[in-house]
Amino acid sequence: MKYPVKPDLYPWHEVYPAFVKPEMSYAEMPKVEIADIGCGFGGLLMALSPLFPDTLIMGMEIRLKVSAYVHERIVAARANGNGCQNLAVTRTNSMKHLAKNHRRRIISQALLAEYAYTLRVGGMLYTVTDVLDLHQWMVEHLDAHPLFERIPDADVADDPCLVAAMTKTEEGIKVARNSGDKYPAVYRRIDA
Amino acid sequence: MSCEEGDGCFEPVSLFCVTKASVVVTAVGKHLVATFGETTTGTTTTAESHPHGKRVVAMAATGEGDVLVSVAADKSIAAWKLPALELLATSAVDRKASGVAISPDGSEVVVCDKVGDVFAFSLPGLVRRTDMGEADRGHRIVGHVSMVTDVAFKVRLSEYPKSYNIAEYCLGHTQFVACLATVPGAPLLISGGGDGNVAVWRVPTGEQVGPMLHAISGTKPTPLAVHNHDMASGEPFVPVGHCTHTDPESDSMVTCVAVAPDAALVAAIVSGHPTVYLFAMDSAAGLAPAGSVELGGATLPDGTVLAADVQPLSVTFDAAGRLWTSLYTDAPGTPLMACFERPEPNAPMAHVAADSPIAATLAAIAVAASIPRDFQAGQDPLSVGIPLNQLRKRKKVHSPTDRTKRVAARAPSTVLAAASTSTN
Repeated sequence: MKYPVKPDLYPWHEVYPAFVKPEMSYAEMPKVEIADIGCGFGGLLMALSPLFPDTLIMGMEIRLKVSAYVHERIVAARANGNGCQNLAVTRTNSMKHLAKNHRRRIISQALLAEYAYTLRVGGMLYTVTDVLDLHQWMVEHLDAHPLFERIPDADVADDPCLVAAMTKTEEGIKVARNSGDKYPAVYRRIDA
Repeated sequence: MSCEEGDGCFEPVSLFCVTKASVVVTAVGKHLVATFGETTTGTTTTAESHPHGKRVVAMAATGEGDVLVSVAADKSIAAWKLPALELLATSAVDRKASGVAISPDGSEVVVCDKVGDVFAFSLPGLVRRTDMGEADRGHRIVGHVSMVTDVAFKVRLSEYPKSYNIAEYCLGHTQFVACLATVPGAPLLISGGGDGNVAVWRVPTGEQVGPMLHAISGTKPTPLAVHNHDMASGEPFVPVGHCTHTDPESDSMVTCVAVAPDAALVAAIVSGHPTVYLFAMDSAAGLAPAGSVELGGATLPDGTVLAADVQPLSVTFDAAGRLWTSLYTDAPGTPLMACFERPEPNAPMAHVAADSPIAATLAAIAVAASIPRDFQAGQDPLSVGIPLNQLRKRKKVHSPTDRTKRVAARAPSTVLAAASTSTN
């Protein structure tokens, strides 16, 4: 699978044809501003699309068949006039592109530096899990990272991104069906 | 071809540097030899215990040339006062180091290991800095000092010491970045890659300055396009962006780049090629080919003829703009190092005259650094003396003519460079 060594070599006009024209330079085209890292079957992408209709959203999924499914879902929605022009999926190992040489593919200071790099100051990072240990691990590392600041749960309770992340993913729906607990943690990318 | 004992084949100088104070420090296996004029001091002769038990894999000197830090394959680190090679301090890292860089003000040294973790030590005491970094990871600095390469074909620029703050990535190489050099007096960085290309990058924005050039041909590689349907395929990852003109599998890996003190000339050496490729550098337009120094078959002023397949292992410029290189070949009687200069400003590079003081320095190095090569039967000659960070340990022996396999044996590793982002 070929991947471009730099963002301006990626065929953005093939991915978001309604937003990017072939003749646009990389500097002038709109950029992806929301990333679903590990997007699974695309539930969150579908929920976010109408909430941010003018924002480009990219899902990343490592499983070939699953990412192909999401791709088909987006193509079908676009063909049926059901929006999703601002959605795209890429089959990729997010960890590969961000933190290739780190053996531990979980949140760590090093990986967080990569996330911080991709986010503008003021950008947001949303985490949700039904596994308490994982939640505590993520919170511990994010709290310790100088470029992320926790936003209290109460302050983000109404954030549509968080609501979507908690209720619109296939995982989130399954957890709710099983009456499990969901542990969110939302952070803002701050200045160095 | 192989050497027999006693016929003048010596351990090559795998690494060396020439300090601002004109001291040439050479690493021969695990030993260091410092040469100033014709005076040499070496750990080859000293009776004291030597801090390194295995070969030196990286070294760096402070800007002023008064302190040298060496790192060896047995994880030991040593700081030395130059030119007398007085041992100042020793320490150790947890994993085999692959690179070392000294901060521009000479107060700190950072060491990186093969997986890209970076640790900081004070100079000259080599006290590990524990006031920064991740406590549960040996206080590694999360990021890297200003620049580091990793195997994903890019250079990462991070602020030091807030190395958790990545400034930018330098993107463009289609193979691992093999070597880096900082540009004196300018916030620029030169890289050489496993793709055979060299490039100039601005620090800290990461933007490329001028075109990426294929080192051997001096031409721009051809960009390849990516199509969206490629992303949906299940094939293994292959980076595209710029490809070299020659087969990307070929052996044109840039093993070392160096920048002249006037920042106007860049030298690059490519694995398997008996040549030093030269480029003119302009801080706005980037690199342009500027000839080469042919080593293969060259006749030196003292009459020695270099072998056709002589391999330069490392290059650097000294403060006067002379080009130094260390050489490797099987042919007996080959000098360990050579030095070239321009007799007049626009003349081609020529080896220093046989009666020049530099020739005397080269002769002194040849004497002090000559450790007879210890050959095992069947050992691949080119696996000897190549800096460890360019070799993957292999039990297999490759035939000397099998160039592609030899290049595959040089695993990419993490490389380090420190730069100041201010112009001075």
